Amino acid sequence: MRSESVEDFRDVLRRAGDASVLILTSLAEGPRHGYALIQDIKGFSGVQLGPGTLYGALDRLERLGLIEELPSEDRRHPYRVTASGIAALRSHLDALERVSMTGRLRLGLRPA
Amino acid sequence: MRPSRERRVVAAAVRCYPVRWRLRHGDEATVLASALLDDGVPWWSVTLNFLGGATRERIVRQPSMRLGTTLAALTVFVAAVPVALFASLDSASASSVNVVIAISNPADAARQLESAFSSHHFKVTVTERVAPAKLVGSILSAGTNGSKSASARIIAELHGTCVGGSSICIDGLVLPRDFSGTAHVTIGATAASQGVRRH
Repeated sequence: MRSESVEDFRDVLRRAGDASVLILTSLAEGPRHGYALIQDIKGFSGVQLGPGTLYGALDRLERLGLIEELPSEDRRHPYRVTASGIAALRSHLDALERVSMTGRLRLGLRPA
Repeated sequence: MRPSRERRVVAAAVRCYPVRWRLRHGDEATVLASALLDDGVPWWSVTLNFLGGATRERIVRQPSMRLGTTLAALTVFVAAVPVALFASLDSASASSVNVVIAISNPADAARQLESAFSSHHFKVTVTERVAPAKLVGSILSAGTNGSKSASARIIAELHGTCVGGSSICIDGLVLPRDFSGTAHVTIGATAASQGVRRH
C-alpha cells in the first residue's frame, strides 16, 4: 500500500516538471509568494524561473493538491506546501539521490 | 508616471492569457514582472515567457479551442505590441473602461451574478432555467432590451470550460463601466435548485 502511494507521488512530480520540484523545494522552508519564490530558487539552484513558467507550475501543483494558496497579502498570493506535497517531494528527492549515487559510482567519483 | 515601452509590451503579453487567469493572477503577475525588470531581467525574456505560458494555458485549459484560441492569442499580441509601444493606452486605462463579471462558483451562479450586477448598479435581470448537467451554472443566454447605444450593450461573453470540463460554456460577461441599459441573463440550473430559488 505504502509503495503504491510513493509511486503515485513520483509520477505526479514527473508529470509536473522540473519547475514544480524547484517550487516545492523552496516552499519546504515556509510559505512564499511569486517573487520570493523566484528569488529563492535562483539562490539555491541558479535557475531563473520566468513568471509564465512560475504561474503555470503553481496552478498545476495546486490542482494536484501539492500546494495551497494562503489568504492574500495585498495583491500577492503566498503559497504553502501541503502534506501530499511534502510526500511527493520526499519521494522525488529519494529517486534523484539514487540516480545521483549510481552516476557518481559509474564515473568513479566518491558519493557527494 | 507612464510605464516604459518595455513594460507596456510585457503588460500586452499578460493580456494574452485567458480572462479567468488574468482575474486570478493578472495583477500579481504584472507587479512581479515589474520587479524582475527592476532586477535587470531582460524585458524580451519576461515577454516570451508570458507568451509561452499564455499559449500553454489556452491549450491545456481549453483543449477544444486549441488552434483557434492559440492563433487568436498570438494575433492579439501582435496587434497589442504597436499599441503598447506607441499609444497611451495601458492596462489600467483599458480596465477602467469595462467591468468583467465572471462566474467563479457554478453552484451559486445566479446569486453571484445578481450580487455583482447590483454592486455596479446595473439593471440586469437574472433568471434560471432547467438545463443539462454540463450547463448548470453557465450562462444560457444574455441580451439587452432595446437601446443600441454604446453604454447599453454587452461588450463580450467570457468562455470557460463547462461543469465536467468537456466543452466550452459562457461563464461571464464584459459590460461598459457606465452601463445604462437594461439586460437579461438566463442561467442553467438543476430542477432542484430552480425550485428552491425561483418559482
